[in-house]
Amino acid sequence: MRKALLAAALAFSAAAAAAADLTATATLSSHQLVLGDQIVLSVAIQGSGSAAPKPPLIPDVEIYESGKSQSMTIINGRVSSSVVHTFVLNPRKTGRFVVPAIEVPGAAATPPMVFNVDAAPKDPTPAPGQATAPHQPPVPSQAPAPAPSPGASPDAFVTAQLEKNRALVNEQVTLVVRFFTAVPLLGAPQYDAPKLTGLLAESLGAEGQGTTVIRGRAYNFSELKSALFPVQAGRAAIGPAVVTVQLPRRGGLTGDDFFDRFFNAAPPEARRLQTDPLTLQADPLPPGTPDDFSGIVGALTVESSVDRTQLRAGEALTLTVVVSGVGNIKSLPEPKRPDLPSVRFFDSESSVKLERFGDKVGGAKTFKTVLVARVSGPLEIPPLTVSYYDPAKRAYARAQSKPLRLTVLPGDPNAALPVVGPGAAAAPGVAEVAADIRYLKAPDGRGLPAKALAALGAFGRTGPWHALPGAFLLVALAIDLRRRALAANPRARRASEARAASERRLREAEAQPAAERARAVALLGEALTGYFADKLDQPAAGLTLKALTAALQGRKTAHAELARLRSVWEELDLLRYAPGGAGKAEVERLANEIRALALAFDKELRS
Amino acid sequence: MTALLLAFALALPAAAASPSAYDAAKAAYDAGDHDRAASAFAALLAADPGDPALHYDLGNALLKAGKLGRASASYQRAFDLDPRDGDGRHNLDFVLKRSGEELAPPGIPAPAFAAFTALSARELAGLHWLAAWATMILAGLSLLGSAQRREALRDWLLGAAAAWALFGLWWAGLGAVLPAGRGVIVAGRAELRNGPGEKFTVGYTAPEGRRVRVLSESGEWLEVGLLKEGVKGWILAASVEKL
Repeated sequence: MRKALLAAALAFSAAAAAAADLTATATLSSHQLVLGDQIVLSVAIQGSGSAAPKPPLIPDVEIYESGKSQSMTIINGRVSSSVVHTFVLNPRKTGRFVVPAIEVPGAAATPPMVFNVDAAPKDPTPAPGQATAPHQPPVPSQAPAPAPSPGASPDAFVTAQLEKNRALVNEQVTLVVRFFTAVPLLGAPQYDAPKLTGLLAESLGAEGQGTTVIRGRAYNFSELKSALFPVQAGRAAIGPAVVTVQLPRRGGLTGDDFFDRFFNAAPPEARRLQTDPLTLQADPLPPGTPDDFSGIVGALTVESSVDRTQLRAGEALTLTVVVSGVGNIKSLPEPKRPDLPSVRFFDSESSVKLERFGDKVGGAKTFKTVLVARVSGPLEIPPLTVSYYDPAKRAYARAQSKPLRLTVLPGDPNAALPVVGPGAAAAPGVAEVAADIRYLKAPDGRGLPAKALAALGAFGRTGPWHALPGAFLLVALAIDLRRRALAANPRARRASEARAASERRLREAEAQPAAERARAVALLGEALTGYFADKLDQPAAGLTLKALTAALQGRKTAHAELARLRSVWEELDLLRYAPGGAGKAEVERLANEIRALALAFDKELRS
Repeated sequence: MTALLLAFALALPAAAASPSAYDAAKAAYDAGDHDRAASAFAALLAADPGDPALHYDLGNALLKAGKLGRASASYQRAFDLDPRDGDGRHNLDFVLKRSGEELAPPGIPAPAFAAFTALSARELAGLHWLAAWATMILAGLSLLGSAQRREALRDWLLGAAAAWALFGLWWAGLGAVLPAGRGVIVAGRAELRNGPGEKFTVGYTAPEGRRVRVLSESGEWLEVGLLKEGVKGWILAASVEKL
């Protein structure tokens, strides 16, 4: 039990260590191609585990998985595997494309790569079906079943043979690998497929087995067939196919089957058999590629259908397009959608079903697209077309579907928003297809709220005008403080208001009519005595010139001012008892005299 | 007072964008000629730099032309002028996410941030000063008036003072989140060095479109702080567009 646990722990630690060593590398079969060619992206993952790369997303490039190959080695108990995932990239337009970093769980992302797609050479476009310049006729296939070297009759050998050594881009070429053996095998042979450069492969499976005689020796043989598709013009390479077998050691047998089997204790001989490398010349397709050319070399048909023929505006339906035929169906792009302003198309989902037609690969590729009718009325979806190159006719041909006629009823105003996105029918709701910025926004001239807010913002700018309310508050505060101080000290308040009270009486006196001269003189006298009574906090009624002079003597009052005071006081006394009173001019003069005295004594009597 | 009236007058739009010029810019944008559209929108903005819609449109054209950083700066200006515009917020958030940021700071729910930024800094400043004026004038009138007037003005005065405090705090908070002296990195993978010159080592690299705060200047170098990470360094002034 302990040993079992120890073994499990060791295995786990070995696996963990292997996982920690996971590395991913990405390579492109080419970095320069012309429109219509394909390019192969290989992502090799070294290490343990079953991590798989996510297919990269490249705008305007169709990408599909082309399979994977795996090899595994165990050295000193350490498991190491190498998996190569192959993706085929089919650019839709010319330009510079960037293959983004490919993420593999547990490994560092691969660095981005760049490839350029140039325009195909411009030539007059022949109509589909019209014969084009004949391309190089197929060269007779390479020598069948290359025999072992003259005079030699090996126990086992392996051959590889191409159907032809010259083909068009994306045209199928069949590779046949045959394994011959003249002796019984000790153990199951191990087959390593050839490494392909510039080619995609689809297995056609084990074709068959049989016997044959070569140079007088009987051989059993078995063969494997693969369909190869050149991805771009140029020379493509097929590496050696390798078969590793365990053969009886030569000289170790007696020739007697019974004794050989019974006594043969000699270890078997491991033999590594391999084919010679092959090359395939891939020619570009003839000029005059149609706009809707699919890149397929073979034969295609197109069928289209919808899940219903009557719907309401705003409702979604599914358009199914099936392109089937012979050729590299996996690489088939979606047929060009018709330009229908009244219909909104959403992204498609595709699925591929491969079939074998004799030695040819084909099948069907199905595209399902959700579309929403925008307006009511009859709707016709025009034929969908796909062009391909027919190698038998050596010309481009075009397949097209039948038109579809639908009836779109007026939409239900209360209906929910149409469901968008493939497969959304099972999950109602709006699915975001792609995040992007929103559209332009026209200046609206800014309405009243915006203008008011703009004015508010302008008012908020820093400026000296914001000191105004503060200054107002400070002034009000000062006034309030003074008012409070005066309210708390009635004597000081009386003194501070003395001049104002005197001024009121003086104005009243000046306003008296001629008939009220006596009243005017009395008001002048009240203004004078009242001023000094308020300043000295004494009753005005009992204030005499003598008492006032005595009160002012103790202060630093100028003699001239005192003399003026006496003069005005005595003049008022005279006028008070004069029979005619005072004239208007005299009243005004005396009022000004009193004002001057009040002004002069204001500073003196402030404290 | 004259200055105040003048400020109000200046805040009114100088002139609406010429429809033909705008249509030409829009047509260039629709046709995919985004560089020409950006130039046309920039010319329109020169005549009316306070229009948030034109900043927004310029951001769209710049982004489509592949200028992520300058687009982010334009969207930021549109946001500063009109933070309540949903399209502007969406596009600004879109470009910020491309440069590793988000409009709402981490940990703050988007609706809360939307409410917090419902008013622009200028609008908050205006409301703050309006409340301050009202508070000080009402206080002055209360001081100068009789006891009865004081009593009548008391509730108004308290309300104005509360509004002053509210808008003042809000304005200060917004200033902390969207500080003055901001800029946007307009160079791809800009280098932040440890001093103002090539001889200093590179401390950080920052992606295009990342928002920074300009702390100081020295010749052709700016000392900036990355708003999200809080790190700072020196960057070529040409790599930053000041807001």
